[in-house]
Amino acid sequence: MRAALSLCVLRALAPGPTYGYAIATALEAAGFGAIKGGTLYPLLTRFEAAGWIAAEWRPGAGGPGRKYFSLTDDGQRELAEQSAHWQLFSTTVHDHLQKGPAES
Amino acid sequence: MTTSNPRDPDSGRAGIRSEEAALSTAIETDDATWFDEFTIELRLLGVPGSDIGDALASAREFLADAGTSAEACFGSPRRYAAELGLETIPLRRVNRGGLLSGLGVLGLFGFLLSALPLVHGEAVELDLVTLVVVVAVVIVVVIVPTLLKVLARLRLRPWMVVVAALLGLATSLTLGRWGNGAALLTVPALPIVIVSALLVLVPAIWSQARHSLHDDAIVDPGGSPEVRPSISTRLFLGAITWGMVILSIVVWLFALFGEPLER
Repeated sequence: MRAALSLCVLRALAPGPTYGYAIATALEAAGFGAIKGGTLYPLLTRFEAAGWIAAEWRPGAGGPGRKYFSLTDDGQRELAEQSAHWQLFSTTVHDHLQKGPAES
Repeated sequence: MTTSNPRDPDSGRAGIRSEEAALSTAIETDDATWFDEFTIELRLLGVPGSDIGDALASAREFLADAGTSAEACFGSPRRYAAELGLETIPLRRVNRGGLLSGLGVLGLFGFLLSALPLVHGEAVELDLVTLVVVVAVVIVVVIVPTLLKVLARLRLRPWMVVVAALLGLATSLTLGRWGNGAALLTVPALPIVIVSALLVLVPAIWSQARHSLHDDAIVDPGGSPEVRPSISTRLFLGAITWGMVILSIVVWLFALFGEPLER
């Protein structure tokens, strides 16, 4: 589930720069349930350290504003790679569930 | 609990509003505690001040949108700080600043023992009680900086204060019963004064230099560290840094001029 969530957070960033709560809301709307800040931000920090996303603070009224995250080129490649792996895994599991184990 | 009249709609609304206000205040208080503990945890992990400022601002931003308490949103501060996995600066196993501050306390204790005997040209006589207190102070000075993480996370409870007071009372009574005031050791006052002066002055000078050169302030995103801290911050830091020196001067003033005042 954590691996799937990680991939889906990357996917939520694909349309363009967005901020933490918007990512959580998008994932909740997609049926992942409520995503807490304690789950989301460690993933975002890990992605940032890996160079997959870049963060930028945009000023708000009377404070530091919002921290926007966007996919870097490395992040785009990682998303494509992980999506392909997930697709293969998902198809394999689906086929197995449909057909059952191969008879020897 | 409301005290409003349930049949009076205005009174009911006022009651609900006061309940909401009370709940909001309770959440704000809890969140303030959570943020304090989160900051301490990040400091203990050795996260640089700029990254701490970023993590605090991110958490505040998310909470403002989510409208829940920090504990419900992020879990325990200790776990969240660890799970964030921010880059850290390796910390020393023993907190050097804490150790030097403790040495200052030891120096002050040395002055308390030796100032008056030196003024009177006498030697310092150490009885059982004094020796036990000296050993206790040394142990505390060594242990406190080593256990800084444990102590920083300690939440002081009333029972702890009661237990500490009872232990202190029991120790004083026991020592008072066993110690008959007879001197076990006699030491010249001058060497104690010299060592005490070093113990008081060196940590103060070291701390002053460290505060000026290596402060790692918590900075909000996009902000810059304050070029010059506020007067209250400077006074507080000054009092912490030079506190033992000031107290030592008070001890010496009493030693030099205390007796004429008594007459």
